Amino acid sequence: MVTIKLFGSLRLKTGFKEMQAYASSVSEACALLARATGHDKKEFKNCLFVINGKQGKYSSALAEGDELVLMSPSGGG
Amino acid sequence: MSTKYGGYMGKVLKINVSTREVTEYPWSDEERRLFIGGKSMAAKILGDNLTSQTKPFSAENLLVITTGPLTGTGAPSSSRFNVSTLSPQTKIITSSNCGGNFGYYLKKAGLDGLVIEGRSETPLWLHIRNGEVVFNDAADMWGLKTGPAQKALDERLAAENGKPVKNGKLVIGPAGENQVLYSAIISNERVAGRGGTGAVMGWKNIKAITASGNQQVRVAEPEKMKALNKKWFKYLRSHPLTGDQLPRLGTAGLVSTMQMNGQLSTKNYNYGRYDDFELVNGETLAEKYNIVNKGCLTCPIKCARTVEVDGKPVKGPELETLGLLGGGILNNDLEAILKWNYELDELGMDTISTASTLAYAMEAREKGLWDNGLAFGETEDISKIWEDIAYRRGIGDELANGSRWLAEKYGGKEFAINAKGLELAAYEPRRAVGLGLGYAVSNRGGCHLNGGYMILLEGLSMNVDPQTPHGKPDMTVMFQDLMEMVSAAGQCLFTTYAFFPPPLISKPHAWYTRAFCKAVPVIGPVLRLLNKFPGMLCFNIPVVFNQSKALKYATGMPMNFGKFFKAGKRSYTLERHINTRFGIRRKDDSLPARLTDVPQIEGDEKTRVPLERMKTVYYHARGWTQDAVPTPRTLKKLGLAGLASYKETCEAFRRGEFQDKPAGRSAGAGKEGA
Amino acid sequence: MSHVITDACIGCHICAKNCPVSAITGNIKEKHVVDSKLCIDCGLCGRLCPKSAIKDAQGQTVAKLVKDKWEKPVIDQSACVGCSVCAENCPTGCLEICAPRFHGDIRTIAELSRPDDCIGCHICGRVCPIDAISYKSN
Repeated sequence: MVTIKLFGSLRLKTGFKEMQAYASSVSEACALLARATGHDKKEFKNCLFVINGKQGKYSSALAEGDELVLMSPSGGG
Repeated sequence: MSTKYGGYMGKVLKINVSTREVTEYPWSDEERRLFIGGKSMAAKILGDNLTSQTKPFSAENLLVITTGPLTGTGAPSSSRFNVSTLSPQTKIITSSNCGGNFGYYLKKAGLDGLVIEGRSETPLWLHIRNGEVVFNDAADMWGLKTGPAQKALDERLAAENGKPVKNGKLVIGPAGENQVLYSAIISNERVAGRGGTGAVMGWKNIKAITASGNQQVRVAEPEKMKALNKKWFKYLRSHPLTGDQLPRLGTAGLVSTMQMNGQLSTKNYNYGRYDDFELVNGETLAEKYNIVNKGCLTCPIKCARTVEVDGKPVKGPELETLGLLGGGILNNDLEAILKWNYELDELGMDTISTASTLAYAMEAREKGLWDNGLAFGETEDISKIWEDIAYRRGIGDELANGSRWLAEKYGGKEFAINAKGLELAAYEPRRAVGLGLGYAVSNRGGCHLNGGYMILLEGLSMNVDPQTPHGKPDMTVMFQDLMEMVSAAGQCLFTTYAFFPPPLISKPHAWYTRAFCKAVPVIGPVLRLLNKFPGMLCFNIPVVFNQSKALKYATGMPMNFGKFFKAGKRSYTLERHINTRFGIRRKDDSLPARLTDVPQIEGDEKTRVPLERMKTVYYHARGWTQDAVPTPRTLKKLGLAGLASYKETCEAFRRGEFQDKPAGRSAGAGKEGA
Repeated sequence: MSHVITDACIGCHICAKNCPVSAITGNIKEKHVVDSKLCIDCGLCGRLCPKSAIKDAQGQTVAKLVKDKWEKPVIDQSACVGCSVCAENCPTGCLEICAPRFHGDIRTIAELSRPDDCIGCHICGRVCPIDAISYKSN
């Protein structure tokens, strides 16, 4: 079980906030998200991935209890 | 003094509020060409009039309100105006740029700028009616908060005219009246917040300035300008940052990004992450509280939020307010922040400096330096603290002087988070060292925008290594110069985000994005070359950077990217040249020791700002001495040899007053060497 | 730039009563004057004047026109970016940026919210930076 969270404008577009799911890699999590939200997987693939506070890659593996955060590109203030 | 250039109204007024004398301020076409407008123009005016003896609260200090040539021409996000003065907070020149609609109306009133000197004996409201100044008594408005004051102005104008008069307004609140050192000037809901411009206006006894008129800005090449505008608006709307992220989340959207990058200042910059960030981030603000997106006049981006406080729709908080009044003081109550943000605007105070000063006070109490009854996480009575500051009551009287002043009195300079007296924004520079350099060297003090905003590349929108100092000083110089001129031309800095082509932003994992991010730290020498010879860039950059072309079409000046860039350099160096007069040297371009000496992550020496090392490169790239003084050669190269103070500088250099190598430089660099 | 009233004026005061910026003054049955410092060239005075006694900034006589024939703005929904320049310059406040159509709407644009107040001045079209406004009469 991993926790998947989504931040950024993609969260507002898809309405998805967070979920608990079984996923063994980031790419698998993206596929899950695409299915759950009905959005194209590409949109999630283009997010930045943060696994337990550290930057991850699309190919990174996930372990039990991990927290995966997806961030869509940000702007400025 | 009329002008041959388009985009300008050709008139700047000097208003002496002591004698109520109004004269035209001489501003020539040559000066328009060199200094364009906005903060750059204001710097020239301040430089010509202020001496090293001028005090911020004195009749000799000027309040300079200027617009840029693009304001009123239809260019996107161009309704801005700039307020510059000798800051009571930093004791050097400051400039604060604001959206609102005053700039637009000032040009409708036929003016490019106002230069205000003297001090009125009684409260005053200045109305600029089509180029004429009407002095109105404002005794009955004195003491009003900024919302009611603006309402009263509309009512009085309508009563005089018989029908409502469309006008642009500037007002101060009680904080400005009582000379809180970081008080702001408010225009509609937008705020010229930084540097204490409101305090100067309050000291001069000016409660409000309004402008109305029926004049139009003449554009030199209207057809081309319109064609460019059409493309430009469309591009901004289609860009992932200005067309999606900022409209959807506002600036507040950065809270989550900064949290992930460890850049969210938490507990007075002790940490870079706040555990409860999800309660106070932009997503929550957008989902739960935002009613409607608002934008400044002429802006397609609409980054402003509207939220409900006490059943009334009011302006929502920006990122800096959320960060500093959220994690900054360990407060996870977003509704409280919405309320405070509104209260601070009503009182007319800069939220950044207020929040940071409060955080300092909380830490000072925690460390036993100052028994003031404040504590992190205890936020019930904060509203009362705002009032106490604005009316200078109790501890509020001391808090009103800002964190630098407090640290001098109570100690704890290492955690009084300011640079040159101006509190830093919510970005934690230890995890974005380029911004750390920017904060330190910024001409107006700890400002992220005047500091070059390197953090945009260091994690916000790009993935350049945030800990490496390589390439950052040269990049900072470049960004500072470009942003300086975008601002001076009258546009919002958010239009510059579109400088990064959409794929670079929306595809962070693509090979070209990764290549770009890897390249930034190693292209320092190339940037250095461009910084030294901006004239080489004798072309306009299509699609992504329209600013220089727009300036050319609006004014009719010869203009290209290189000239635009050089004008920014001129302006930035001019500001520093003036600040030199007030004693600013390398030692002042500093950050509190917490940020330069204490790693954010224990044991990871890289997570602190290697400041001295970057400064050395930075000054070199700028053509300043290692003691941060612009050399006569640099001034001359930038076309500043005509300044009255140029000769003095040459002589001072000849006398050897400014050493090129400051004492102890190598020791400082050695200590920090990363 | 300003509209001017010619000697054909009979002092009926209709223009002064309707001027959205109170730029016209004069006593009944005397010739009225336009204050050029206030006039915004909306031309309403000319469209209302029973004697066609008003000339525009270019010196052309403004034609009298019944209210039904006034041309109202039509906003190109796909082009408008909601910059609110038209709304800010509208002398009667009949143009507004529309309310969000759903929570989180980021495409709010200008709309003619009070068409009855429109005086057909074409100022909105003149100031629109991207030519997103055209006109049609009813």
